[in-house]
Amino acid sequence: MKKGYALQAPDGVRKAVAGFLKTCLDKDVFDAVLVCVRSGSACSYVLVQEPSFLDTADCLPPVMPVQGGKAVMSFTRHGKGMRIGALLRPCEIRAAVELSKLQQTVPENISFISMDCEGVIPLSDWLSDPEAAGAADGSGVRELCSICEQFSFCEDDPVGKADLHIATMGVAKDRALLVPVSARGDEILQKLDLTPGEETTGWVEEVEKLRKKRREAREESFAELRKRVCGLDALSEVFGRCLECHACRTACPICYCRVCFAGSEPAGDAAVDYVRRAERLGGSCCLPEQLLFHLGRMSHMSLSCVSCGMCEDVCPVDIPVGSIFSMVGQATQGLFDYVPGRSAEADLPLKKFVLDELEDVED
Amino acid sequence: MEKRIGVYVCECGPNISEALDIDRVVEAVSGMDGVVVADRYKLLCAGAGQQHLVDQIKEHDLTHLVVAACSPKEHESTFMSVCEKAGINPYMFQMANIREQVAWVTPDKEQATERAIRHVRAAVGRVIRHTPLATREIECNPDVLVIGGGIAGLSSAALLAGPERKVYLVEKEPALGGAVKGYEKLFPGMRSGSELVQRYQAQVEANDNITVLTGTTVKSILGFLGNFEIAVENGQGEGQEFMVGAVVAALGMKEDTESLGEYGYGEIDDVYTALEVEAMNLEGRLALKNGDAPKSVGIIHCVGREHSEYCSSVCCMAGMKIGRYLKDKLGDVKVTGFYRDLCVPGCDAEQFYRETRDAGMEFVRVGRVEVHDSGNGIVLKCGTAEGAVKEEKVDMVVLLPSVQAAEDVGALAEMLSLPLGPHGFMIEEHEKLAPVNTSMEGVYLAGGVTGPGTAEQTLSQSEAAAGRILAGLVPGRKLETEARVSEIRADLCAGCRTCLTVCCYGAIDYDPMKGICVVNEVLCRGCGNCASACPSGAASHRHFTSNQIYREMAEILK
Repeated sequence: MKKGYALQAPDGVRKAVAGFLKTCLDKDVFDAVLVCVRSGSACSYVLVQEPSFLDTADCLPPVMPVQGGKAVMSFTRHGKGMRIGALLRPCEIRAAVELSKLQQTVPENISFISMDCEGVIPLSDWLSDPEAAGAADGSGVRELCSICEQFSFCEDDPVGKADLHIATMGVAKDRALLVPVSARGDEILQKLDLTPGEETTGWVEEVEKLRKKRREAREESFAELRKRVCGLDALSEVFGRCLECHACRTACPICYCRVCFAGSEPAGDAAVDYVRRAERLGGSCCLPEQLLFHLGRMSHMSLSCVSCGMCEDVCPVDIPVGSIFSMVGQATQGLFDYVPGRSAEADLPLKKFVLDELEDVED
Repeated sequence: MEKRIGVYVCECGPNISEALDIDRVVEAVSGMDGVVVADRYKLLCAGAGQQHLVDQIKEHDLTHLVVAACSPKEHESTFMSVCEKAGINPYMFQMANIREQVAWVTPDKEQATERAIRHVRAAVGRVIRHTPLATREIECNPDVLVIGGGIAGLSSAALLAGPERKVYLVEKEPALGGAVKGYEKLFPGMRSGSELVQRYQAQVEANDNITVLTGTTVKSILGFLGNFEIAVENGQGEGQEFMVGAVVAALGMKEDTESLGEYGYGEIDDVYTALEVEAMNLEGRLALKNGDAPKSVGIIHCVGREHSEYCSSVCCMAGMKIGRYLKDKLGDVKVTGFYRDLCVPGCDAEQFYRETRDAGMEFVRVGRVEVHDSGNGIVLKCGTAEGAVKEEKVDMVVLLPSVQAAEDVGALAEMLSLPLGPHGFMIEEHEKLAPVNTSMEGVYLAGGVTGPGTAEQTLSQSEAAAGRILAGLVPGRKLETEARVSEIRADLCAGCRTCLTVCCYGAIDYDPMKGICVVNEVLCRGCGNCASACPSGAASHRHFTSNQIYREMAEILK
């Protein structure tokens, strides 16, 4: 069983974590830390070098303003740069790992610090009342968060590449446990002269209990969803609300293409084609890409989908796009026994050639 | 510019005209966008037919041509030359295959006609979106690198080298000759292996255009047909670099040692492999460890057959040859071959087998053979087909192990980004159409690198490889590149390098300065893997654009 270092948090875990990160900067463990900084209802990822800036940091905001994987990409797309300690949720770390496999980040010098994630509340709730929405008691979180099983790292084979994990579940309210997950995590604690001597049994039990509950909820939720979206007619109806604003794609950490084919000039149909289609089929829908866009995006990114729920959060017309993608992703990833973000070494299924595979889907 | 398409349906004698209603096909495409003329003709591929097309293109001032006839495999190039002759770009042409894919697959004339209409409409829908493509010419180096100084490498080098073509013959061992040099005789003619090698070697050594680099290994091969940069290194660590236009990989084979232990090899005295007996024979001491001549020898076939999972095809014959050595040199010796399946392919081999039997070698069909040391000679326990176990006492055991690719074959394949077959040998581009080519243009295979083979097979391959190079890489002639290749749009590429991992031809490079991938048009064969793998739509195939395929599909599925 792993052991952890007990971080005292008399003023709450957020303040304690901010203090810990400040120490990391003071003791030159990192050149900068990536954290969320909050100002009113505005909450964004900031790469902080000046330790005093951490006084305004909200290390565990109840909302996901931007997917942290995307934030990491913006800092490291063009080289490894400085030593960064990035405080992210588990799904954000998994996204960063996927992006590194897609050559969109160079995560070599990044130390990932994860935390037990209670889930985040929908952006719309947050914007209507940022103060009231702050209660991190697990209620009112997004649908996808409420069925997320990968909210922590306490397994022998941790999903994702966190180096250090902040355990809060099953831990007394006035403290948190710093659990080193990788060799680099051990090093960080050593540099800070912190010895992880605290038992983690209570945390592990709590996480496993919740995970089991979540797994059942997930299966139930997907069974329900499947009924609503199976078949072309059902899909057309669900995605029929789509405005083609493509916000889901913009918010998605995995959609890394600089220019997307969907909505680009070559994808567009000539006026004459609309007319022809109408002639042929009796009618021609004027947002012809609606469903095609989602199916196309799904075929491109479902293998790497980390179920972070950003897409669903930003959808202005409340399409359960995140749940659908997560459900499809679970199936496609299962085909290749692939867990996105689990390790930087596992090859992306598309990039790995296997002579005999998928035999059951052949003719 | 106005697009003017001409559609011509070939009757192909009775082949197409009797199988479907050509007039209805002609009528169905006549009104399509851009079609200015649609007509039928007796036999378009004949001289008169081709001339008819040239005249039609000129008469109607056509910009695009569609021919509905046979398979493009058969006459695409014919009609593309027609286009060139008539002054339009040959890629403004599309062929609809209404013979193999329509006329010949159904006796139902109505169905055939309906389907032909879809095919021809699809061709029209596609051709209107074609763009003119051009080939480029590149300078070529005619020189050749031959890797491996065995008979394959020696014969290739001797055939290739001339006043206008230098050959670099690289051999990792200190001397040329390879495995065959160690064979006193070669089956089935029992001619001398060493003499054969000497003959080729003399040709190589007498040729001033061949640079022999022994004790040398190839470190890297970069580039493409006509322009390979080669780096080699000798045993002292001294490097050398040179350019060549083509490469012959003539690496040999080796015995599979994996299963020898199961037959007492290494533990029991006087258990040898076939190659060891070859060496003993060459040294003139076919004897037991204690110096005595063996009185009885058991030759065990198919050693490691289960491990290798293939018949190595040459070992049965090699075993017979060893039997002949023993009989010829020792006279009074009992030689028995213990085989499961005897592989004796071809008339010469059959003759050789008979001669060997006449010489006194016996053959016993067995199941599994176990080798035991009785303290007083070796005992072979042979399972028979009936399930009984028969014991046989011998003085010496010769194992015929299966044949594997030489150690450095894997490294070479990796260097060239070429795939290895399931058994570790290099694979030819096509077993019938391109048996000594690899999927990388300009790299050819000969000998053991392709799989177990006899000296004759090896020499046929090495001469074929040389022939390919002599015909394709003519000194002074430039190479024309393929026009139908992929391209990557720099403004769309996100540098994810997914295309790089799916490219079978090593035709894509990552440019770290620009952070994007780039297609090498010389290496690209236009397979389209990158275009289908690229999520951004940055990689596309010039002659299979999404739009072209979409329009083609739309007509087919209408």
